[in-house]
Amino acid sequence: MSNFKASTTSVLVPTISCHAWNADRSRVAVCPNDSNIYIYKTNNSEDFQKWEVEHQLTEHDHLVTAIDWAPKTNRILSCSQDRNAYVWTYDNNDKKWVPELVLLRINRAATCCKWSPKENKFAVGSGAKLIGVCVYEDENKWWVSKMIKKPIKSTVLSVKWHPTDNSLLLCGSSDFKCRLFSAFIKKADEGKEVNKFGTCIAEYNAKGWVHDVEFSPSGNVVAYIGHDSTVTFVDRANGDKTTVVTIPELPLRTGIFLSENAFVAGGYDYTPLAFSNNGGEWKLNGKCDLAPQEKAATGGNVRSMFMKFQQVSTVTATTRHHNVINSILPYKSSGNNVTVFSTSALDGKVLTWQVSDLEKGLEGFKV
Amino acid sequence: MSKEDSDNRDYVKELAEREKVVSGLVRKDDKKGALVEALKDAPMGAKDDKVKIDSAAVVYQVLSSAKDTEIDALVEGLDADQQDLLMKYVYRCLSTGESASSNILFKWHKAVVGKAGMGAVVRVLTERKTV
Repeated sequence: MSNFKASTTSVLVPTISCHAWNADRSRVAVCPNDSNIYIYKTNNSEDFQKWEVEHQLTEHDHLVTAIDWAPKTNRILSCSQDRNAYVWTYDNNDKKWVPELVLLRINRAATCCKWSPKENKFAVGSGAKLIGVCVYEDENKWWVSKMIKKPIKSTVLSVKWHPTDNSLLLCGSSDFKCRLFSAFIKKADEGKEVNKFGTCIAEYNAKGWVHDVEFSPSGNVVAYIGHDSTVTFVDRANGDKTTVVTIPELPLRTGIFLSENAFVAGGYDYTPLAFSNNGGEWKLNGKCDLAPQEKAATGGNVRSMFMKFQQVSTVTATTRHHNVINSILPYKSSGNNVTVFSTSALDGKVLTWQVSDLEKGLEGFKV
Repeated sequence: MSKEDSDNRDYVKELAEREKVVSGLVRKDDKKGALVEALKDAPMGAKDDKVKIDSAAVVYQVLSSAKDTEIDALVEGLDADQQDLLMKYVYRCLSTGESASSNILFKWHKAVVGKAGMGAVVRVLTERKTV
């Protein structure tokens, strides 16, 4: 029942389009589904009702589509439908966030963005059927982009970096494909160039728009979420062994790996779903909104029957979120395993989920 | 579904054979067998729309032969892929089958949603290779 107590009518902002945490989780950046970004001080609480607005970042002109907060360098990357991206750095003297322009030169909205693991470059996906990979140019004090165009045939919906390799970029797009690119840029990457910048190293097919793509913590497994209500897992270390998991619910939008063998994803059905890999076979374990545990009947008298009836009738919503979940992030981790994750949704809430609860409540789910 | 989609497939011949087998099974009142048989080798790659319409008619022949009380059990007997495919045929019949009764098709629609969830409907809507 503890899950359901949090499903109150209060919200952080009326609608949220995305969220991002800083390294120690003392701040969170939230886009309230407009051109602004709010930085909240969390006051060490997972409960958004205790958060306070600290800063408001107002440089964008249109809806902010994605935010990514670099943990090591403490810089915020944001991109928007106004076709721009900004890198925000905190000025300790003025106590404010200062934007730096990114020269994207795209003619469609920027849809997604992500810092590379070394945080010396980042990728921005766009409706212009391309990905901009950006590095800093000291002499001009701005970020310049290098484009990956081929063979993307439609809007790029998500970009993710390999967890350790600073030159591998995974991308999902609405041309029903998930692709792995080389994004090697001499300035930012050490070592030899194995694949030329822009080389499509691998291509995986989906049967719907690919909303989100993810690498497992080791980078060996690739997961991508299709609009045909499926999640596909590809084990790159094992001869591209592919498992397509079809789900009975509406399509998912976004997901993350909790460990090498566990995955959660949320979307149009308002509840995150948990997936796990037992012995090489990925399967759906169930909904993260665990069904309320029915208490053992204490006797068949009228009063207990009435209490039971009342209990059921007070639980009106069966999910904690009341609208589409659009971003899901690790909140706390131990080693490579996520122990708590957070979700934001169009219902204007940012909620956290205990992985240990899911392990207890979902049969066969093990992180 | 077992055969690869290619231009080499003789969809017309396959269809004729399938129709014969399915009609035989329906006559013998083996509806479960008939349904499984009717869902085999879906003509996803066929260029000719007539093949698709006629294939759907074969499936509809089975759907219309089942009594209302049998529908749930028949859907239950299919695996996940077959349920998805059945849903695709239900939508095909609803869109092109002039002789098909929507009343029957909606009963099957409800049964498949009950078993395979809304996901089955979403997969029909996103699928580009239609039956």
